[in-house]
Formats: sequence, C-alpha cells, structure tokens
Amino acid sequence: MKGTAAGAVLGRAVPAIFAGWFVATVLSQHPDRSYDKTRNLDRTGTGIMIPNWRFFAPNPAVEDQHFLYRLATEDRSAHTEWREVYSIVPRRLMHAFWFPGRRIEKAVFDVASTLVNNPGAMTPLHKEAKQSAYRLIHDFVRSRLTPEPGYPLFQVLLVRYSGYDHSEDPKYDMVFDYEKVQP
Amino acid sequence: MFSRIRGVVGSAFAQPLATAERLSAATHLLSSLEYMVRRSDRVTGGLNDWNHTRAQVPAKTRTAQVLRDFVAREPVTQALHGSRALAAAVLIGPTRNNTVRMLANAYLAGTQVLIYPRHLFGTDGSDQVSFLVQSAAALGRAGGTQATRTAAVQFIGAQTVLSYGASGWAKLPGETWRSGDALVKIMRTRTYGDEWFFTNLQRYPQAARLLCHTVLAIECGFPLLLLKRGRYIEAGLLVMGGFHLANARFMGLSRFAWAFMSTYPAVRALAKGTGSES
Repeated sequence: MKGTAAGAVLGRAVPAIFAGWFVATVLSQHPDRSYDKTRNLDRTGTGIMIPNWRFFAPNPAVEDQHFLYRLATEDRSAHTEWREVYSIVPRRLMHAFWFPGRRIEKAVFDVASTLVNNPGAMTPLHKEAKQSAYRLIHDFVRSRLTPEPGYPLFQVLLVRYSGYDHSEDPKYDMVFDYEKVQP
Repeated sequence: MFSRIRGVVGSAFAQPLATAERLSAATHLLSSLEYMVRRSDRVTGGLNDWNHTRAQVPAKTRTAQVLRDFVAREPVTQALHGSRALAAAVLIGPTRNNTVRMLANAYLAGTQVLIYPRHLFGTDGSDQVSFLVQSAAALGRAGGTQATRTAAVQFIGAQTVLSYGASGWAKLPGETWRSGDALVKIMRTRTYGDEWFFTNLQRYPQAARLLCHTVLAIECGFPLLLLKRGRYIEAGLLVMGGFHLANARFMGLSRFAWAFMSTYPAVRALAKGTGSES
C-alpha cells in the first residue's frame, strides 16, 4: 500500500516539477532584468539549474581578449615592450573531438569579463571578489612571464583585438598596478 | 553499411531517454577527462586556482564553504572526476536497469553541482545541457513509471527547442546579427573562429551574410517545427546537427555537438507526441 501511495505521489509530482522547471526557464530567457528574479529559485548557488540559452546574444564575442605584460625597473622609469602572456592555440581538426585547452581560453574570456563588467564593486563581498580576481591574474601572468635582470616589477594590460582581422586597432580595456615579479 | 547506420540511428531515436542519457554522459565523460588532464589550470598561476576563485563564489553557509574547500583539494577533484567518468561509462554501457541508470544519472548531476564552483572560469553551454539531461533523466526514472520517463523526454526535448528559439530571438536586438556581419566577426577571433573559414567569409561577403541570416532564421523558427505533429522535425534536426558539427570543427565546440545531439530523439518524440520508448 505504502509503495503504491508513494508511487502515486511521485507519479503526480514528477511531471509537475518538470512543468514548473520549464516555465521558470522560459521566463528567465526574457531580456528584461526583472525576470532574473526567477533565477533565485536555483538554490545550488551555481546558476546551473536554470540555464541561460542566450548564446552569443544579443552581441556576440567579436574580439579576442589578451592579457599582455611588461617588465619595469624598480623606479618605474624604464619598461620592456608589451608581451603576450598566453597565445591562443590556432584551430586544428583535433579540436572537433578533443580540446581540453578550450577551458582555459574560455576562462580568459570569463575572467576578463568579470574584471571589465564590475567596475563599481561597492559591497565588501564584491570588493573581495574583485581583489581576488586581480590576484588571480597576477599569479597567472607571474607564472608565464620571462623575467629579466634589472626589472623586478611587472604590469598587466587587458587588450581586445580582432583576431585574424588586422584592419582594426587594439582596444585597451584595463591596465593593472605594478606587481613584484618575485612576490 | 548504410542500412546498418540507419538501423543504429533508428534504434537511437526509438529510445529517446536512453539515447539522451548515453550521449549526454559522453559529454560528462569528455568534460571530466579534460579536467583531469588540465591540472595546471588549478595550481598557482592557473585561472581556477581555488585560493583566489573561492572569493568569486562565496558559499551562503559555513558548511557549504567547508564542503567546497574540500572538493577543491586536487586529490578530491581528481577522484570526483574519475568517479564521474565511471558513472558516465555505466550510462553509455548496455545496462537497462532503471534503478542503476537513475542512480548514475543522479550521480553525474549531483557531482556536477558540487564541482561547478571549483571550475568557475571556463564553463560553457554544453555543461548546462548535460546537467539538464542527466537530472531530468534521474527524475523521470525516479518516478518509476513510463509516464514519468515520458515526462522527462518531453522536458528534455522542450528545453532544446527553447534553447534554439531563445538563442535566435535573443540575437535579434543585436546590430551585428541583423546586418549579417556577426558570423564573419566571430570567425575572425582566435578563440571562437577559424582562419581558413574567416578568410573565405571575407572573400565572399554576400554569402557570409546569407549564412548568418540563415542561422538566425533557423534558430528563431525552430519552435515552429513542433507544429503539424512534427512533419518537418527530422529535417530541422538534420540541419541543426550539421550546425553543431560545423561549430565543433570551426569553433572548437566539440562537447556542444554531443550534448545537443543527445537530445534530438527527445525533440522528435516531443514533436511527434510519442513517449520514452516509441
């Protein structure tokens, strides 16, 4: 009897859950920000329960994000040229099947987006998030730069460039504070 | 050989839930293997160094924070991904037991939620699709009846239809999409593009704009394929399958192809009004 009752409850609950979940997803695709409240139904804290299907929309990614660095002398009077931190791997057929490097390229996009899109971080939590993003980038660059004697400092620059299309100039989004090569 | 392929495809479409589970599990398998070999992304200097990224996703409770910090330890991360690969292998395998498949689905969905903050930067839409498929399949199988499994199939199919429609309609306010320039501009990027394809799109701008508008039209119009009991749904799925395969080749979005195409039998079942075992 118990099994049948539980089965009956599940039999009704499951389709109802699917229906509610689908409706919440539909509402969350609305461009009006007030519909974002529906996303609060996701209690996992990850945002994965209610998907965002608006890929490359309304404005697609049309430029690559590049982190550049330059070395500086202690008194900051002299600098090296700006150098690339990470080279994006050119497309290969293999990428259609196996491409673990995709994650880091998307990660560069995500981190750059986090830095550029939250300029007015006011709450302590937001400030901490912003500071930790800067520390993340500084460690990222520090582990990849080529040090030179006489240049104990480095500086990071976030640049957007139009990839294989060389008809446009680079766009400079953000320059970071000086950091020590050896922390 | 052609008839054998037709047989396999036919069989896949006749079991929309099992097909969705299997191919989506392949997405999880690929994803976990990728993470296992990319340890460098998580050590000092990596873009998912938990020492820094944990502040991006502060947990709401102390217990949740302790759990996240535990999961972020490299041996635990590796073990989780290894176990996920095993769960995916179970789903890809031939077992038909409803409870076993339900548990494997639930494990993949649950561990994905657990491990999501740890890989904060670098996730993409295929992760969303594969999570939905596994959790819907787990829920449908937990219901224990043909009806609840059918509800899972309908949910999965509906989400894919919504995904294409929403993706298309959300592009319409974008000037570059309306002008038809979006495709060539995306393809010029090293991150999402391909040099050969970009060069050719630039050489033939009218064809590039036509292709761009065609993609937009197909995405926006995809939900219409549910009408007339899905008379044209197979054609629509063939076109979108080609779209995903092209994206895998030219944009490096390999997991998207597995994730989305896993849902195609479910989309067809939704359009035709058939169940989880048609």
